[in-house]
Amino acid sequence: MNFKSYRIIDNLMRNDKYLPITIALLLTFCLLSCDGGLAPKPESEKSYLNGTLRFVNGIADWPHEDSILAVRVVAFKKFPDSTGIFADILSGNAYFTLASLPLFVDSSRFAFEITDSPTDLVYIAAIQQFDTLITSQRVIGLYNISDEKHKPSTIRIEPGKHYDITIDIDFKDLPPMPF
Amino acid sequence: MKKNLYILLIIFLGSTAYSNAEVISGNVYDAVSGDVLSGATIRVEGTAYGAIADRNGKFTINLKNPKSNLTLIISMIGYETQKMQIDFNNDKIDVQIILKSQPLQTGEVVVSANKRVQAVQEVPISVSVIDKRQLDARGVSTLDRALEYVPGLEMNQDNVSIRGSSGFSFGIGSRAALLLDGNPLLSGDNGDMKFDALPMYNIDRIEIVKGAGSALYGSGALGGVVNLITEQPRDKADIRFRTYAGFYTKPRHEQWVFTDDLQHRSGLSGSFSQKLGKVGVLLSGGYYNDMGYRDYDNTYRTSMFGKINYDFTDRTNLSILLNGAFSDGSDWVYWNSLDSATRPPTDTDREVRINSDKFAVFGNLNHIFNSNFFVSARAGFYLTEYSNTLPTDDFEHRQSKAIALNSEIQANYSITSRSALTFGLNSTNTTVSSITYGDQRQDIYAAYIQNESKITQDFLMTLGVRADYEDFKTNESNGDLADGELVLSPKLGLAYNYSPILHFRASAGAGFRAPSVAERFSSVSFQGFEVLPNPQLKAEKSWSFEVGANYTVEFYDTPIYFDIAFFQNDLYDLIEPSFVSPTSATILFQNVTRAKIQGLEFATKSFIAGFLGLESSLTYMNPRNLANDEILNYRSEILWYNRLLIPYGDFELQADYRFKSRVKNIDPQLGILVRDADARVDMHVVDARLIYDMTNLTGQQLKLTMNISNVFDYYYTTMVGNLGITRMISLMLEAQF
Repeated sequence: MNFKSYRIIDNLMRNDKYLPITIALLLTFCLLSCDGGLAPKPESEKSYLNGTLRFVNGIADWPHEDSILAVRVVAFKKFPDSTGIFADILSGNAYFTLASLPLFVDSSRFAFEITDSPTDLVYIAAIQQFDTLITSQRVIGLYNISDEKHKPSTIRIEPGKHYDITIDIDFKDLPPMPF
Repeated sequence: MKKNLYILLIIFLGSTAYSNAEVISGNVYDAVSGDVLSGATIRVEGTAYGAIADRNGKFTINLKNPKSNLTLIISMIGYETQKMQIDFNNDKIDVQIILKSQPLQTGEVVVSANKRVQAVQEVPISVSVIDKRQLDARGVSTLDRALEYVPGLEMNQDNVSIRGSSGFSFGIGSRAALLLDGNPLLSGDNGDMKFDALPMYNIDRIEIVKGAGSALYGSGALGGVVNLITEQPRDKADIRFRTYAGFYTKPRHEQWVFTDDLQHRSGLSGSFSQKLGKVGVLLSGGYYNDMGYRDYDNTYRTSMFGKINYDFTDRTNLSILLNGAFSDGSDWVYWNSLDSATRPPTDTDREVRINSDKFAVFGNLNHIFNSNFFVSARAGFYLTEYSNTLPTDDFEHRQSKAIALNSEIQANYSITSRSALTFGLNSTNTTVSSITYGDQRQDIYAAYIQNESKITQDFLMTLGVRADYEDFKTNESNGDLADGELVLSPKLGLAYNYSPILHFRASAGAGFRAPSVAERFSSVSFQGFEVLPNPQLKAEKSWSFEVGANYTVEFYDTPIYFDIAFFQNDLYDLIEPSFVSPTSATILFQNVTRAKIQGLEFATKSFIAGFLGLESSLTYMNPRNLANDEILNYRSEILWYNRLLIPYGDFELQADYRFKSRVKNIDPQLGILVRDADARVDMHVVDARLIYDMTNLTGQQLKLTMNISNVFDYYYTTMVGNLGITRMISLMLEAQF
């Protein structure tokens, strides 16, 4: 053991009355930091709405690229009214895909988590952004399992369940705007 | 030609002054070992005279017509700052100075509070100092990481908030002025701090003035001032290297694991410094890369810094700063969701990058006419440019280039032995050429004057005012511009030294901030949001009030330092990014808020029996939005920062614990557009490091540091929808030759 080591041990011995303070402080820091903070929701409790957008006439039927800046999917918990899509999104009544889905394709997949299940999604639509204003949106396809082509269908989302749907889009026969 | 004549005139006056010189010389020693101390700074109080002790601990100060009684202030990192009275009866005087080691700094010397050198106890406003030892120990390479530990200051992602002054706006429109050796360094377009643009490896200390400082610093100093002081070139050739490498540990939540690869970070810095005769040079550079703790969050950065000093005479010197930084980073702002907090939003285009260049040149000419009068002239520019890599015709393409020219002349004149006048003229001329903001020009012209008087030997009063006039020109047809605006910013400060260990202070000061070009003219679409221009924006203003005291008590041979401050900030016409209506995702910067922030700040530090160093600061704030009588958006109410150090021979263990209370309020519409925006918790973060000084082992100045950031891997958000840094372990090696 060299001289320096003796000095360190000597320091420790002489200052042993401060060791409890040091240890107490370190333990306090540890305890305060040990609850872990944020955590994701366990996968088993989460609900998802997954789906496919199917463009019925393929790539050739897409409108000119100047008029289609983005395609998104929006799922409303109550039927949208005249205040527009964004009123419902901003008031927390709708789920949506933030980024655009792929453009000029035959089909594309989407998925979003439904965070307040159980809930009913009464109007699920594919929407097209037709200019640079984010509020410039039109409906191009509806989730529909009934015989009436442009009638929206409701889907019940239960906790911990995954749902897979298909939305058909026909640019030559667009559904009516609900707003 | 005029400029050359001016320089010649200064040199001539300087030579004349030198011919009447009288001399203080001496040596500086360590109180315990008796070793000479190279690098100690010796200043003559109330004047610009000063010197730095050379490699042999020697210094010389040449004075013209000195007063019979002078006070020397001697400071050095790691040592107690000392004052020494000198009775000047001869042409020459020789002094022997002995400095006592002090691991925790309490008696700092500051320059930012009143644009002149002062002991911190003599300034009437709260000032915090981060010294080089702290910067080096933490191995910080960007400014934001350095500021995280400052009492009363919180980092709201890209915004620096001093005592609650700032919320969250991606750094746009900083409410704290940023200076590099006194030269302004907020970008010309966004008015933001580029944290990665600063030469952290060569910073001697950072001074943070808390409270409005526009009476001396003008626009931007609404909530305070952050001034980075760079190192001086060394007397003998000094070559230093620092390299580090580390990695982020895997998140303990399986859903957050996004790769099996090790997410690593590394960096290399080097610098050379030497003074040869009249010329001193400091050159440095660095390269840093960081894979990030989140997916698609990698950054690459290079930096360079140069400082060239030239002493025309003992009384005239020129300093030129060159600073550049170039970075490449990812382009997303909010997480996908809490469940995938380490990932960008789905379908983020990972090919898109943001490139950013920053380059600054500043010149600073100082001339001491005599012990009562000296002048500084500063001029330079700060160029910033950024663009994302999307095609220029893409509606989400963003690009901007800004040049901010700054020029200032400042004079300090001692009217009597009890009264010091500081006055000057300043202009800032900004030109912006941008796809995002259009082509714009912003000019601010200002004049300021301040007088510091000693009412009695122990009672100092500061009175000052600054007038700023802002003018704006645009090439865009964005509607009517607000008219040019003249803003007056007065200040009053009182400092009373009741005894050498008890000091009182009180201050009232006005602040203002002219809107940045980005706030007036942003036209951006980004990740579903749209920002529109608002040329009608006017300046936001503030008043800061503070009463404080500091006291040093001896307890069983252990000095304990206390500081307490009550403060109030009144904020008017605050500019906030706000949604234009409840039914759209369109954002406008608007003068929307009248706010009041009242608070209490308590700080203490001690070094117990040479064994245990402790620092603690607690800031409690009540930040109220007076428009709706709620807590201001994006503000914490409690900040509690702690530091512990235990030196053992060649080792030193350091630990920091930071607590920040949960941000209660955010913009409710942002809360809907950003998934899981309510996922906000109190912050409890412990950073620790073990430093091993290997000099005794190797005979070479080597230091090895193991750093662990966020030791307990505590998960929190730095602001809405952004996970804070997870646990990171690194090793850093520093060498000095």
